[in-house]
Amino acid sequence: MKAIFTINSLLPKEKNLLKVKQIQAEMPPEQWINLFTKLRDFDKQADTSRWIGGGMGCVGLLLAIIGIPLISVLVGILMIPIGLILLAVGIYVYATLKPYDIQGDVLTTRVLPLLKILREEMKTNENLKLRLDLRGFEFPEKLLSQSEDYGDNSFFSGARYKSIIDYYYRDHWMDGDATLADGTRLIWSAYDLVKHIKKVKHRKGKRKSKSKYRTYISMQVGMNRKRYMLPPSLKLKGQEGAVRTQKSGDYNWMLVKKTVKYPAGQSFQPNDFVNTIASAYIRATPVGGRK
Amino acid sequence: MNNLCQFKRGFFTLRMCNRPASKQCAACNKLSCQYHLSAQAQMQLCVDCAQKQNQGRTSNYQDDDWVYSYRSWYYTSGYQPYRFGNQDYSSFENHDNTSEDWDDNYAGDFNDS
Repeated sequence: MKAIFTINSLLPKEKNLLKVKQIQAEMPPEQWINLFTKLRDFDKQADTSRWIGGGMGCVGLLLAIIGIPLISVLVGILMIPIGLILLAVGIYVYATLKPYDIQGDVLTTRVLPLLKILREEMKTNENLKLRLDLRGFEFPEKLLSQSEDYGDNSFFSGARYKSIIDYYYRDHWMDGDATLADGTRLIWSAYDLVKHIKKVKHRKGKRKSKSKYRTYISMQVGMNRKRYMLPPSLKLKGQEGAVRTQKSGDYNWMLVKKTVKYPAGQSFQPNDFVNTIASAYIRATPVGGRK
Repeated sequence: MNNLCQFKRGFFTLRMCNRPASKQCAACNKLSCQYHLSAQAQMQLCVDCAQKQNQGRTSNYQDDDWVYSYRSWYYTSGYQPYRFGNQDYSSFENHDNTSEDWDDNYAGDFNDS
C-alpha cells in the first residue's frame, strides 16, 4: 500500500511521464538514470500495492457475498460492511495506481542497463538525447496487420481452439543520439516487431495469448577521422546484420542494421545493443595505434 | 597523493575514471569512487575484487554495479577495449555535427533476418 502514499512524493513531470509513458528529452546519463531508477522503484511498489488491492477487493467481495445468507446472525451483519469496505479500498488502490503502471520490467531490463553502459562511455556532463515509448505494443496505432481467424469453430471437430488470430505490431520504442568520450557519435533507433497470438479455447472460452519478438536495431556510429580509421567502402551482411561504411566530413561512419529474433517469451537484451556498437569498434583502427 | 578514483571507466574504450575517490577497497587498497565500489559487497570492495569474490558471475540488472560485471563478462567474449588517456580527448572538443546530413538511403537491405 506504500505506493499510494509515495505517489505524492513524485514530481508532477514524473507523474506525467508514468501516465503518458513516453518521453523525449536531452540530459546527462546520470540524470536519466536517477529519473528512471526512481520510477522503477515506484513501479515495483505500485505493482505490489495493486496486487494487494486486487486481493483485498476479491476477499471483500467474497465476505459480502457469504455474509448475505448469514445476515440474520451477528457474523453476517459484520461480514457485509467489512467486505464492502475491503472491496471499496481494494478498488480504490487498484484504480488509483493502474494509470501509473509501466508494463513488465522494461525499465529494469531494457532502459536502465543501456543508460548505465552509456554513462560509462560518455563524459559526465555530456547530454544524451533519448526518445522512449514505454507503453508496450498493444496499441491500435502500432498494429500493422492481423490474420483471419484460423481457429476451428466446429465444437465436434476435436480442435482445441475455436478462435486463433495473429496480430502484428510495430513498436518503435527507442531513438537516441549520444557523443561518447572518445568523440564517437552514436545515432540509433530500435523497434520491436511483435507477433501476438490470441487463442480462445472451446471449453469455457478460456483465452490464451503469447508474443514473439524480433528487434530491429539501426545504429550509425560516427568515428572521428583524427582518431579512428575504418575500412573504406565496407559492405557486408552476416550474423552482425548489414554493415556499411562511408566517409562524411570529419567522421568515418559505420551503419549497422540488424534484426534479432527471440524465442517466445523473450525480447530485447542489452547485449544486442552493445554488440551493435562493438561491430564498429572491432573494425576501427586507432590512428595512433592500439594502446 | 591525489584523491582520485584509480579505476578505469568506459566500456568500448577505457580511460581513467578520475572521479573523486570516496573509499579504499578493503582487498586491493585502490582508491575508489562510489561508482566503482560494489553495492553487493556493502561498498567495502571495489567492483573488480567483488567480481573475483563472486567468481565471475554477472550480477543482476538491478544492481548498481551490474555494468562492471557485465563488462568483465563481455571482454571474455573476445572484445578488446581501446585504452586512452585523458589528453587524447582534447582534439575532440570542437568536433562538428557533420552527421546531421547523414544519408540513410544507402543502408543495407533490411530484410535480412
